[in-house]
Amino acid sequence: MSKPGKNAFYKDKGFGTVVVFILLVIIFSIISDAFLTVTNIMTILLQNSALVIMSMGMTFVIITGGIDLSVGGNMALCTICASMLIRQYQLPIIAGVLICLAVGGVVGLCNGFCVTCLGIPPLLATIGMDSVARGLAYIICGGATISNMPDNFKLLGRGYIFGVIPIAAVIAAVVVVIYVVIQNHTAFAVSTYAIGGNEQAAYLSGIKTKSLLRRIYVLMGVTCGLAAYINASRLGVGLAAVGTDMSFDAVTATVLGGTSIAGGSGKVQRAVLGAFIIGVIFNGLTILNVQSFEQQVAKGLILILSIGVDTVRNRKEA
Amino acid sequence: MSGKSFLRLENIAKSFSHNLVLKDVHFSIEPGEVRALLGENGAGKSTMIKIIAGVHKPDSGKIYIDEKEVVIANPKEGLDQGISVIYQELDLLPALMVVQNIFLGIERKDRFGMLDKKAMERMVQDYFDSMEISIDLHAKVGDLPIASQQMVAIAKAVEHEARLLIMDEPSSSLTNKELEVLYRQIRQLKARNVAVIYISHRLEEVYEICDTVTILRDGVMIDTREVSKIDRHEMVTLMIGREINEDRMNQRKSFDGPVILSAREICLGRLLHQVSFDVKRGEIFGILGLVGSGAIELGKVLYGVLPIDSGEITVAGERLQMKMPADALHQSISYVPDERRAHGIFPLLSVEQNSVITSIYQYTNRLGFLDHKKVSAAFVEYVDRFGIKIASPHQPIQYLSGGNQQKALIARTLLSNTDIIILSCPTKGIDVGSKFDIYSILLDCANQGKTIIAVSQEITELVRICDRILMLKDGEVYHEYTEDEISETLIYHDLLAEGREKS
Repeated sequence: MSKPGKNAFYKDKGFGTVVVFILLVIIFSIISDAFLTVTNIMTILLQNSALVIMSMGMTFVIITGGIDLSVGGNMALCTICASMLIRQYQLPIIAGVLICLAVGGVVGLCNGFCVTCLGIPPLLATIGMDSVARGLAYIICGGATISNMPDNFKLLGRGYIFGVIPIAAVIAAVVVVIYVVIQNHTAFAVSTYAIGGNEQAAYLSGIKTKSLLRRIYVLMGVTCGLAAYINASRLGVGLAAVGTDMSFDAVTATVLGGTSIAGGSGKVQRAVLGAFIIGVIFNGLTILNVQSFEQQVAKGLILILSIGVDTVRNRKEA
Repeated sequence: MSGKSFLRLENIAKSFSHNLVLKDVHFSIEPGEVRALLGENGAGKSTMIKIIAGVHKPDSGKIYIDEKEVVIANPKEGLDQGISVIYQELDLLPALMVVQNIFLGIERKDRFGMLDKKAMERMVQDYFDSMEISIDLHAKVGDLPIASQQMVAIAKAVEHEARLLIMDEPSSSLTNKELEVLYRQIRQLKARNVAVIYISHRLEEVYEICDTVTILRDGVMIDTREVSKIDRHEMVTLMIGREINEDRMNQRKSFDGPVILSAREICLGRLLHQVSFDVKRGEIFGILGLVGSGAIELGKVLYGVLPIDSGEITVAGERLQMKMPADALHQSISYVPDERRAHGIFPLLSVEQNSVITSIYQYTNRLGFLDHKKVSAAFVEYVDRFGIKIASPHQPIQYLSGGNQQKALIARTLLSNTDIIILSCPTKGIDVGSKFDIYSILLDCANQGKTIIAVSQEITELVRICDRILMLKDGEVYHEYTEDEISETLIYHDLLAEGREKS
């Protein structure tokens, strides 16, 4: 990388991801007739809505140079709190969603507090919080599945517009648009990139770095709450065991989308592509009857590969 | 002093992005010789020692060790050749103990291949005893005061059997007693036939400990003399150069205005002691001091980066309570840091974003969205005004030259529209052309009513632009220079003089 033009090297980052995605689609459509059908595409969209939403918040966190590995536990806590209250009081959809957003936001605030006030590295703070949140979820529900949910609970996760397009996918699309607008048109986003690029310089430029980081973790938590609701609604029940792979998947999607784990750069729209690469691979492998154990291996390899590429790229720049 | 040299440099030249730092340098040093390397900041001293140590590669020229041509590709190879450097930022491992640091990489083993801790401890203790140093061998290096760490670093060089030891301003943070230990260590190195290159700004030390002196100016080797055959005045003259160019760019003979910022009895640990001064609205106020004088720290205090132990700062009569830089900005104070790369720029962000980051909330509309047109309009104004050379406003700032980066950082403070602008080492590491651009910019700002506080180690630049200069020594105010006193020769003599009181 000697003297790149203004955006040449960002374009490079996105380009590789697009190629991988297209290749995957071509390969699976050749191997299986069932892959490139309207029904299957809609299934992929639905299955990955929660992940897409989650990776939006994750991208912002990773841009700051942090990471949030508590989103799985956070999802579980949101799910249990919301589903128990909804069943108890027969709450409308909007109330259920708001409960999830609030619980997620509180967990995010705890993360932000640990990272900024206590100075715990984000990796450890959020791993700890993951365990705390999931443990609380199990304590609250006593390990039981929250079933017998009211019918409207399942609308956002199982409903379709015009009988074809999943409502969840539409919500995910709206979230993506909101995040892209935030990313491209707010001072908040510019400051976020600044913190990730050089925290000391950000502090000296008058950015209230701690307060900003807290807000970013809260935003991640709120986003996680929305994903939790959609996921629970799709399942139709409240489970404390949800989202065990969610942190992993969201980080993988974000890094696959070219957001550097070192912070300072990245784009939310690319994380969408990252999420769908993961989605397409699992959908394809499932259609091909590959066992979930092998899928597990594939998933790990993807994360290692994508971070490997990122690291090599960073080394070249340096 | 005749015999075979240990190290010889021939025709060494080095430049950093079109900025020629060393030109055609010839240098040689014999075993057992203690050589002072003198020169103003920016004369090329540190580049030269980094080339010797293998940190930088010369663009041209040859290096000989024991009269054999060598290439020192990295610091490891330099060490293998017997070259040790003690930088101002010591490169010891703070979490390891004294003994472990000293024997790092050359650990003694017993016949079972295990670490022979006793032997190592005995060797270090013997050395410490002979130097009358009392440092606990098992203390963690990070817990020791700087002076002790430095003694450990020298002990390390001794045990590593260095043949050339380079010390970069080793005295800047030492007390007189500690200085005695340093002298003792150097004399012992000399007795062991080790060559020493000693960099310092304090001439009395040169006379005390050095045999010969080499003077560098603007990257050129001016002269090498025996210390006994050159007097203080001649040394200073050689360092600053012939007809001293005292052309002030600031045309104001004297300046008066209402006091805008006033500091009273500022104390900060061991760094600053009872520092008081007033800055007038619209003036360019210089704060001068070498490393260890507290000048850089004073700049940070005024921007709320370092909290003071006691004293008070008032701006326009109002007492400041600053917890962080954001508070200082709120009080209309902005700051350009001295470590441009580490503390100034956001390397991945565009030049434009780098420039508007502090003032970014001025460009948002009622809904909180950025008005991109407003941002570029504000930025482009400064591109034109400062002559910032860029391919595009969206180009990442990391690919610009130091001078252009610095201009972008100054644009950042001007865009945030504060009354007071503090610049820490305003022209550190940038080329001569950009330096003059920046001086003009600062004078321009002062003429438009901004108050500029320039913190610097370079007398020349402060003399060129300042209305008044405050000199700090060892954390205390040494003297405030005004009007006719603003003369490079006068100030330089004072800077090098002994003592804390101006006579």
